[in-house]
Amino acid sequence: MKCEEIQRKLSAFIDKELKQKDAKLIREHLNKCTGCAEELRAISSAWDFVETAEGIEPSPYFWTKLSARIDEQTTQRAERWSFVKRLFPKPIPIFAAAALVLGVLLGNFVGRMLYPNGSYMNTNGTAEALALNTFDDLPSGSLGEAYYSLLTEGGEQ
Amino acid sequence: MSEHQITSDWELMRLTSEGDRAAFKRLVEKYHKAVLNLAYRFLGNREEAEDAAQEVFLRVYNSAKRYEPQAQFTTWLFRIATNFCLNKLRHRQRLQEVPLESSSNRTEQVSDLNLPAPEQTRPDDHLEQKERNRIIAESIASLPPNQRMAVILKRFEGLSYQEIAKVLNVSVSAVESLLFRAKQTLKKKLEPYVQNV
Repeated sequence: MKCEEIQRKLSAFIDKELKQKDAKLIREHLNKCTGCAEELRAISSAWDFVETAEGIEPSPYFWTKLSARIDEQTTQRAERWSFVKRLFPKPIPIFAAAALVLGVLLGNFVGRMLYPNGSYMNTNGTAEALALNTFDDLPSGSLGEAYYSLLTEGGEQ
Repeated sequence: MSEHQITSDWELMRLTSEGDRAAFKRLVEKYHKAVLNLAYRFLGNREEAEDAAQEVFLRVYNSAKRYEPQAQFTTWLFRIATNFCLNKLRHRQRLQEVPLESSSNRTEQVSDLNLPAPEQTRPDDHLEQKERNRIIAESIASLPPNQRMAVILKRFEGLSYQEIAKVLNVSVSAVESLLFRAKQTLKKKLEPYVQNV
């Protein structure tokens, strides 16, 4: 392996993360190459130095504080739930309203399935119902027309 | 970490999911120092680290019911902590605050760090631990977030590359690369202080 390749593997070598075969190759190279051995020393020194940094101790109230937050969270959730319960004290009206909406939607859907043209009246029926004589003052067959014809017949006599 | 410990952590999580506060307390006592120090080394601020640790354990408690023991508990715990810290850092950067005298994109500029000159402090002779802590903290803080977290997980928590890969959700070779680059940077920054260590 070339020095560049070796030096790239030095980090994993220090952390003992290399396969035995690779680690052996690196050890052999380090015995011969002072440049790579110096690089290893420099990285190892910095890495060991990093480890000397002290950590911090947790506050003695860590658990007390955390426990209080959990309690607070539990209380908030309970309050939210009781608010919802207060808003809808009885679930029956909600179900009734939901059933009504569902019924309307279902009826609409079934209606569209049964009458895809959009109307339950056929075209002829509509024409008959909307015949122009429907709007006459005395449509034929109506009581008014019968009375009027009696009168006019009488007048003619 | 032994198999017994893993089982024990799983068991404590199971009990926590059933509302057993004492079991959760045992988990917290076992790991709160590690989580606190991970956050402290990453965020560089004690107060923020305390808040982060609190928040991480609150999330653990809230997710207890959904927890599935597929990996080690610590991997899962550190993943929550890592995600929280990374988000915190992003949030802080959005607010344009300056974290522990650092910024992730100033990695390579040793001169940017406000470190004392080596000859002024002569760490090999009389550097106090406090000063040493500061120098190391600043050097770590100068690394980009993922490199920084990889260093913390490896150097201080002793995780393997595979475990770090799981925590950071990257490949093992990516971890290798992150630590290689981090060590190169740390070597440059700390060289004046470690000559005779």
